[in-house]
Amino acid sequence: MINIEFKGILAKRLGEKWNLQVSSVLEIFQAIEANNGEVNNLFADLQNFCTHFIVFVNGKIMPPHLLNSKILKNNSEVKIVPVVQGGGISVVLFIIGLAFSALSMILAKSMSPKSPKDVSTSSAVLGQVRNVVNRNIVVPLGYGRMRVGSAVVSNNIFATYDGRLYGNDQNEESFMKKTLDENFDTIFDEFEIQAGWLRGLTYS
Amino acid sequence: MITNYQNLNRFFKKELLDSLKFKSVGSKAEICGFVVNGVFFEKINRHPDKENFFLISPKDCLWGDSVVLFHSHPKHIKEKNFSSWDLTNQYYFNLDMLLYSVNNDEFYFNKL
Repeated sequence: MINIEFKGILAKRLGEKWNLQVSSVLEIFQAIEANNGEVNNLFADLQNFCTHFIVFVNGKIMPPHLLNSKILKNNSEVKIVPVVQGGGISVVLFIIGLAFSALSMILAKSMSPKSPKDVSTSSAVLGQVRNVVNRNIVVPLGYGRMRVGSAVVSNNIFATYDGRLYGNDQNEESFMKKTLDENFDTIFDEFEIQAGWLRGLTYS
Repeated sequence: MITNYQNLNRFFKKELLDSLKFKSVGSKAEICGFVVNGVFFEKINRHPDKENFFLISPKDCLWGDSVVLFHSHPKHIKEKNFSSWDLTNQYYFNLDMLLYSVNNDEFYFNKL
């Protein structure tokens, strides 16, 4: 687990201490957002935070370009603190906290979900609900209490032949035909795929 | 925002305020540090333009509900009260803030 400590306004809004299983600083914010939904609420402010915070990893200042890098090891200590600064004149001449400039951009990109592609479907499995589909998307592994919806499963079907299974009296073509004969209905009926066109091509 | 010297005695002892005033008057640069339970811990001002700004290293910072950030505005700064840059940053570091303005001979206290 990674020990995370916030100071200043982040401690007030997100909580001072966290223990999370994350591998990058960006994932800290994604994990906290998954837990309490506060990061997105703060996100408008984070645009302004870019010049006011510094990230320490194990006591050393972390360069901004490592925000999305998997640099956190087990028991790493991350501290995100505001820069204590001010001045007698109101013109800002010096900016120190650069760590969040990259973060705000990365957050903007990574926390905006991609629009799923709408498809019309006649699936009886999901009834009248409109399906969405997007191949090979990331499926969140949830823990804790949450409300879920939309793209919660990602699957992909592909067939390969490893060349090991047919005997001396069979060639590759006959083996594949036999295998499909035996398993076709089982394989495809489970997924309710109307694959008549495939069957026709296979047996022609 | 409290600017009255007498009212500040509710929060800070007169000896502490006199000490902060003495340090501030004798410096051309901004003095900065933390007041914790009535004791002032001065910190190095690491800003490159120390006469107009202050900056405390994050490694030197103190945090907690009873921590008050102090800084001074030297004599050449005519502005009364906290600057907008002071208040902008206070939102982020989220500490009570005490200021002494040498030019105006006044303390200002902004409690969150």
